[in-house]
Amino acid sequence: MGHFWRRATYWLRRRRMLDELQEEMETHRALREDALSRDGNRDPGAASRRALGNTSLALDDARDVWIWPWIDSVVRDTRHALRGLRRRPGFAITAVLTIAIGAGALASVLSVVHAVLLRPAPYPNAARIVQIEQELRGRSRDEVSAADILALRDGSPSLARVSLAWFSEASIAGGALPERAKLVYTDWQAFEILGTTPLLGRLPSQADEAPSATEPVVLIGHRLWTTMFASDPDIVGRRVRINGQTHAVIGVMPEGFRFPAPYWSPGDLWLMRGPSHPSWPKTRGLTFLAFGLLDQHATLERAQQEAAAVGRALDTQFPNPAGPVGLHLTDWAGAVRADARPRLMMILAAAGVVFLIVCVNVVNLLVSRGVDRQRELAARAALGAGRARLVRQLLTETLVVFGIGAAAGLALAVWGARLIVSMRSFSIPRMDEASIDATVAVIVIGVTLLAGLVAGLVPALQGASAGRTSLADASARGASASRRWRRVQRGLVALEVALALVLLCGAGVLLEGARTLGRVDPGFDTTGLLHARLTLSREKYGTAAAQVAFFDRLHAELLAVPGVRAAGIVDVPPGVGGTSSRSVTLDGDPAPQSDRDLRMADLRVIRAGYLESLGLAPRSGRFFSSIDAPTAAVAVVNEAFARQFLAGQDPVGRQLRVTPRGLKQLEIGARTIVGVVPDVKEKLIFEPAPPTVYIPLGQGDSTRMALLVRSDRPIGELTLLVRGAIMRADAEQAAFGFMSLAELMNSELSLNVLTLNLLSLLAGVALVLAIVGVYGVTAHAVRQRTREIAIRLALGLTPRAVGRLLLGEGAALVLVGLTVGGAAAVWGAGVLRTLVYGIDRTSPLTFVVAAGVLAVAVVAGGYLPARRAARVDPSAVLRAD
Amino acid sequence: MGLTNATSDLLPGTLELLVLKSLAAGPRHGYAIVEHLRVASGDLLNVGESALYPALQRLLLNGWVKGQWGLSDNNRRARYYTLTAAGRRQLDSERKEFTRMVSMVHRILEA
Repeated sequence: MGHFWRRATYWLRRRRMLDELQEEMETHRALREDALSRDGNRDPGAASRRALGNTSLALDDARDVWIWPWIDSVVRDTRHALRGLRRRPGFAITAVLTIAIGAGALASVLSVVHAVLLRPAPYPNAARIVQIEQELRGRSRDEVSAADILALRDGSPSLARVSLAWFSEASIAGGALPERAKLVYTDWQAFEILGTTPLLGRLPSQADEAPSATEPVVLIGHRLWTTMFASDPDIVGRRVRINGQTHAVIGVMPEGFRFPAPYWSPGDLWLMRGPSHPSWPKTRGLTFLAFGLLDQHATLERAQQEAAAVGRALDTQFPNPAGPVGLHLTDWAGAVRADARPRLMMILAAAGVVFLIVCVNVVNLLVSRGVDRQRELAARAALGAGRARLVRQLLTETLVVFGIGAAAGLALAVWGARLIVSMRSFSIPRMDEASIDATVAVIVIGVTLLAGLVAGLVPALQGASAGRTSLADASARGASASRRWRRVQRGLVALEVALALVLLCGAGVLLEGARTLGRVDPGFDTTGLLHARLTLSREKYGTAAAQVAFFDRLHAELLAVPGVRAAGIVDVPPGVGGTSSRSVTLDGDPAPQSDRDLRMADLRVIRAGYLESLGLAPRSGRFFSSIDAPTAAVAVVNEAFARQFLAGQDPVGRQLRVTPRGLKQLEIGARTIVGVVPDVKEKLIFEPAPPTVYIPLGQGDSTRMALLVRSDRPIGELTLLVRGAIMRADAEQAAFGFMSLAELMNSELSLNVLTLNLLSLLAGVALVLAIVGVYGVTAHAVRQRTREIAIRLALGLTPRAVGRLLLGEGAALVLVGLTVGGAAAVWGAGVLRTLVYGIDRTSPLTFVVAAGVLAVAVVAGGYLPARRAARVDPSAVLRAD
Repeated sequence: MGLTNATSDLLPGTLELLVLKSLAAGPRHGYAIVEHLRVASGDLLNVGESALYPALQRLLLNGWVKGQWGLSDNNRRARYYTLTAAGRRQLDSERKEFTRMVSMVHRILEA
């Protein structure tokens, strides 16, 4: 132990120690001189020096005792390497920049991967949290009922806590304008599941939910606390009005606390409403998200078995006509990430390919440099540098270059990560947290240095062979060694072209897909449509009649806005995904014998005027209108419905029943189909329109609705006017999500857009690197072969022919690269198609164009040096030798 | 005889043992150690500086000796080495080990 400590202090004091040792040895010599002169030696000074022997060897040996010799030599080698690099700044700058680009690309993408996929959720108990879902016919249904939660609390000892989350929006009174806040109904157990401590105040307890509790309590999120309450440190204990009801603030949650959506937007308000609260439906429908905390010693498998048993018991209590409903548990943190994983991994792989191209380029640079340095290396070997010494020196040089490159790359990645985050990918969870932190830095530096170690083998091998060649051999131009290395270089260039082609084709495939998507007809005109959302408070608009009255008022206000041509109100606007699949039965249908007989259709709740606001006209029959009483049992279906369920017959006049689900308490009675509407891409734009049933608003719960307002006014101006109209309809009603519908539909494709942007960027970098690589290798080959070229010219070959010869060699390489890369690219495109929506097929033209672009660019990269070679003056070159 | 570096004739570790022994009587500087070893060996052992100083550094590193600057008999600044308690223990154990080994070698050679 003392050993290590002493060595460390020696290292710090090494200069002084060396001085002392030198002085000590000088004393030694002087004492001997004294002794020798006493003995009558005639030249005691010289004799004493002779006696002392090799002082520097003694000093070296002593120093080797003090410190690990290799640390010292690493420092010396590094210093030497830096000196060498300064002598050839061209090589150093090119290599460092190239590595910086590769490391930067890798770090930028890695920062996103780390934020989204790797970084643990910011909850102390994250690893033990499970998500609980109902399961029907092997498919998860996302949500559960209050009955499920109560049964799990009793029936699953492996789950220490089970809680729920039901989100909504609320208007919260305080400032000049009513603020919209994201509200979550949950209960005290949720906070035990998460394990997060509040920033201020306390967490809710069981007593806060008891019927005896004096007043309802609320926890406030960090965002709302800073904006609406100006970070008031005394907020705990204050009263706020939420949806018109007074609540006592008991605490503020810290920044980054996101519940129930850990990876999406932060919440604002948490209100306590446990599973036994009378407001929740008593059926076993789908009501809310549910979470559980595994007991310290429980496993997910054990909990799953218990949940399955609970599910079976519930199923006998609440029989479901569509089949047995089970309960399914998933690892919470893992489930949320599953969606983004494949595509992020693909982008990471693309960054890896760019990094590989970078390494190939740098290896090529190193080979060129090594060939140019054969003389220097041979000279050093002749002067006594051992082969191991040379190899170590060369390896250090490479590592120094890679190390500087990694540092520069990380600096570049700080900007790169910001660029990726700015690509507006709202729907990718936690992406906004992407940054270059210690983990990313360590990984990137590690990978880069590892690459440097591998790449460093090349010059090291060259150095070793230089140690064997004599100085005379090394100076002979066109030595066989350099020819051998030229072959290696040509192989590497072909590899690089192949890798670049794979990326270019990948970007091409995505671009083509994006262009196809851009041409997809959504079924209606999206231009000039403004989207907004609002959520009515259930306290204020508790009945269907009140809701209908509000939306009637709002509709009239919207139409009164100058410049507004149409306004529509719908529960889920088209093109934004989401599932609202219901089973429907038509009159005359036999009773379903099995699950396969069920007809599944999407359900949309609309106000009269919605379909018209999309610019649609009935294909047959009519749409809803004010002549329909609010309770009229009518429905409109789309053409896909008629096609799939009625073999194209006109559905008008047929009877239809929709199975109820969850909170939307539709009456189960039959409806008459009054009209048929053309297909609209109700789901994501690249999915075919599903069979859809439209029913009038006000026949169930319609508190969460979207507005679509069509006008020629600019979106910003229109937003202000629509806000005004909403205020006039209800001065306390908040609205949000103002954006053009086209933009909203695009944001649903954000993962696609991000993939496309990043892959295009990486492919562009790969292209540039390939050009640089080919340029470098050709230029070096020309430099090496100046003599050969001069002889050829002297023997009568025309400069044109020389240029052709060199370009031809380059073209052959490109051809090999394209062949190999083409095969890989076709395979890669297949993988891409499975990962990214909306790419069904790729035209071969995409591949041809990508290959063509690459070939032209790369051959152009070789053109400049080839032209220079053709202009060589043979007499000057040959005389110079 | 000349001033040859004698360490290559010694068994590994023996020089350290001899240096420790020469310090057992009291502090000495480097030159005095060489002189002591020469005299004590009857002019047979002449330790070269390129062996002595690394050996002294090893002893320092192991904490068996301490170095202190002082003045020599003829007023030169010299570093005096003193045996530490750990060094004394080390001397004892190495001495026993050395005796054991020599008698072993001796027994084999006489067998």
